[in-house]
Amino acid sequence: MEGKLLRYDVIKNILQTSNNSPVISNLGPTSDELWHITKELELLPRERNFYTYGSMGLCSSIALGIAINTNEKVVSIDGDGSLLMNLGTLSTIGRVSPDNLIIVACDNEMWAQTGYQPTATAFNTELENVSKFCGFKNTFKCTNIDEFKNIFENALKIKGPTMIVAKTKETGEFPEVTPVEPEFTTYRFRNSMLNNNEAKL
Amino acid sequence: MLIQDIILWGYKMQEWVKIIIDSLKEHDISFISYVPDISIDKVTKEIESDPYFTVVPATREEECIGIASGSYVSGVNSAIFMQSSGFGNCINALTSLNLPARIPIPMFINLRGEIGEFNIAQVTMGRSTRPILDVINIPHVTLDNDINLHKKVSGNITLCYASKIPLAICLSPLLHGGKIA
Repeated sequence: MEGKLLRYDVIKNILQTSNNSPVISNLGPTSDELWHITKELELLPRERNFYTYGSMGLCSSIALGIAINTNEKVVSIDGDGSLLMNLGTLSTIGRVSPDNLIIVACDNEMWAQTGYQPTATAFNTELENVSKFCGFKNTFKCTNIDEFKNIFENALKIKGPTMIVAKTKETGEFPEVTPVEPEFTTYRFRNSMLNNNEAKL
Repeated sequence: MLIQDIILWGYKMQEWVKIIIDSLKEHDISFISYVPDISIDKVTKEIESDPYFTVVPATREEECIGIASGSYVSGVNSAIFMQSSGFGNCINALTSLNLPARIPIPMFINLRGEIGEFNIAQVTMGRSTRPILDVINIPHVTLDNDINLHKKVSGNITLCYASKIPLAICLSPLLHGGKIA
């Protein structure tokens, strides 16, 4: 296990540097941490957060659907377990090639919430290479927060699609579940995108 | 089959395709995600050649649900085309994303396992599609050779957006002629 990063620090840096960009988070601890960090940074309600609660594997597919309809940078905070369940979506993203989509894959090499069972990235699968051969324009891997900060800052400027594999470790602590109703997330997120895209629509 | 029947059959095929495309436009549905199916290829081919639509072919039907849901929440109405076998790949996405998050998406599902089916592997999923939709509380309608096609398609899309949950529009071989072995 090469990861030294905390998903917490990764998410915090994304929120601090991506202004009002749409951020889509994978189910479970990623969505929960996104809400708690948004609160900590006094950014709530941050209408551009799209928390997911189920739909295993679809975080980056949802982000793709959003990215196609906007010119803003769209950030998908995905995980290794989720991406491995739906690797096909990496090839669809490579095919469509939206230049505004950034995937941050928090790769802890395990299914942490279900009992720390190792995933295939703990063995021979390298998500940055999978993405590269699916047609991603830029692929990065990082193992500490300073590396991540530089890579993410650069990713916000360059043309994607971009994959950033952040090798993370688990602390054994999981925050409380995001206290936002899914339908409220949809309503708030969509309204914020509609207001922004008025000219387009 | 008589020559007249063949001509009439051809005319009907043109008509149902046009009705579906017109209905999509009536409801500002300009984003389509699909996994190919030979019987609904007539619609998806027209859609792909029409600049009104943004089209994303996916690797798996569940992925279509994610992509189309992303489009809806970004403010652009979306629809999905797939076959009943692929509907079997979508169930957790529908029940854990679209139903709790109230994301309405009209789904056009070609029904296999109907009259003329020749492949045993298509029978169970084809015939289970509508019962499964009932169990997960997703409304559905089946299009066959009846005369109220436009009302059925457009009216059910209206219902879909009013209820803010997905709705299935199932296409039977009586509508499109089915898959020829």
